[in-house]
Amino acid sequence: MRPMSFAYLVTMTLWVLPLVVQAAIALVMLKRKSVKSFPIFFSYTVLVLTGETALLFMKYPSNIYTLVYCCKEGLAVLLGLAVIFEILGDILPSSPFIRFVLKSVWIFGGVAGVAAVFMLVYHPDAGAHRVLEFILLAERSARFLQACLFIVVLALMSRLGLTWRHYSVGIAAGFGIYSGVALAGFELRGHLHLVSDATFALLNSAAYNVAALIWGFYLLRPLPKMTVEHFPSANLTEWNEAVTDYVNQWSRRY
Amino acid sequence: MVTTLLTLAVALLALALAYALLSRAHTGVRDNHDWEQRKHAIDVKIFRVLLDRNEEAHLRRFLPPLQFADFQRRRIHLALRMLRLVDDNAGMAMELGRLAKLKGDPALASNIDEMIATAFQLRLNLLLARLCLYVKWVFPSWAVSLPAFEVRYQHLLDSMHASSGAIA
Repeated sequence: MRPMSFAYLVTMTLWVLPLVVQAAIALVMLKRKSVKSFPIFFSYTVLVLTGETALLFMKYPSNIYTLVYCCKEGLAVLLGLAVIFEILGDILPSSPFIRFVLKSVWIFGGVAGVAAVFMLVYHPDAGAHRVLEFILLAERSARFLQACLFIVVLALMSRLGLTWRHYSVGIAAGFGIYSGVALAGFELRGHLHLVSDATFALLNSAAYNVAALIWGFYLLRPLPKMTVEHFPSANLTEWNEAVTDYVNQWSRRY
Repeated sequence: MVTTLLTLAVALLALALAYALLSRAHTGVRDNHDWEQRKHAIDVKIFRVLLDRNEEAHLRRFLPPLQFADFQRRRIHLALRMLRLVDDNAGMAMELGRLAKLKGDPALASNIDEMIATAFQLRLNLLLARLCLYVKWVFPSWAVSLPAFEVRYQHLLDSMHASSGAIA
């Protein structure tokens, strides 16, 4: 039997706590029928929940453990990237201008993807454990792409004036924090070798816990009941014209 | 070294933006009554007068340079304050629009989408306008000339609309 040291307790708590929160999130999403609005986030939640629960009861180290871990991580990264476009679809209204914004995000994503591949391919030192190093660097590249895209999404969200009532805010903020900390961790461990494996694992786990708690806060709260009788009139078109006219003055000599 | 700096900068920026989003995601407006109480009454005509080129030229002609700079800065300061209030109004209007959309009326939903898109575009333009005003505040007498980027941008938008229409 393993000794119940403080480090072991912390590790287990950081492992199990997000699973409990995510199980509750999955149940609440099913109950509120919000799966239809966020099917990819729901799939991500279920994947992490089932994958991590299976790993919790598997023998370590073993081939099956490695296989399950790698498959779960690979799928989680892909779903984590897909969630970004799900959030954009949820927060952006349909209009020609917004379609232009969406296309710009795709282009930015493409550039960030090329940079991520470049960072993976042109890495000078593979170190002694080549396979492990490659996995860490591949994950760093994936997290780099994810963090870049979340930067764009978070910046757009701040301009859209979204409040705590929106699930998208919680989902994006949770992923933003997790991808930021994970990316820094992968850089410090996988590339610079400045932190130990234990510190890296703890950092990653703690960041995921913070993300899960943010998702929990946003998705588990009771839905507020708001009533809006009529559509607000705020002469925004007129203001938009006035501001655009002023900005346009700058491109002409006066 | 470059990739390390880039990676850490991206990580820090993601964290900072996530934190900013969470700290700013306050309750917002709840209903029409709340909107009526919190909206700012600002006149777009005053804004236009404050930044009118002819007014500026007129002031430049009749005031000594130092006094002109001082007066111009005060006008810009006022315009910046107005833009902050417009930004607030646009944010609240978007939130109220989203709440109104919950009613599930398809005709209303399309109008609301249009309003949110306009408000979003306005808030993006506000960033640019603020930047211009800050530069102008630093150099009040500077007659600035920049390449006409917005013309190319408008051409790009027009061609995208045309190609979307052709595909549809």
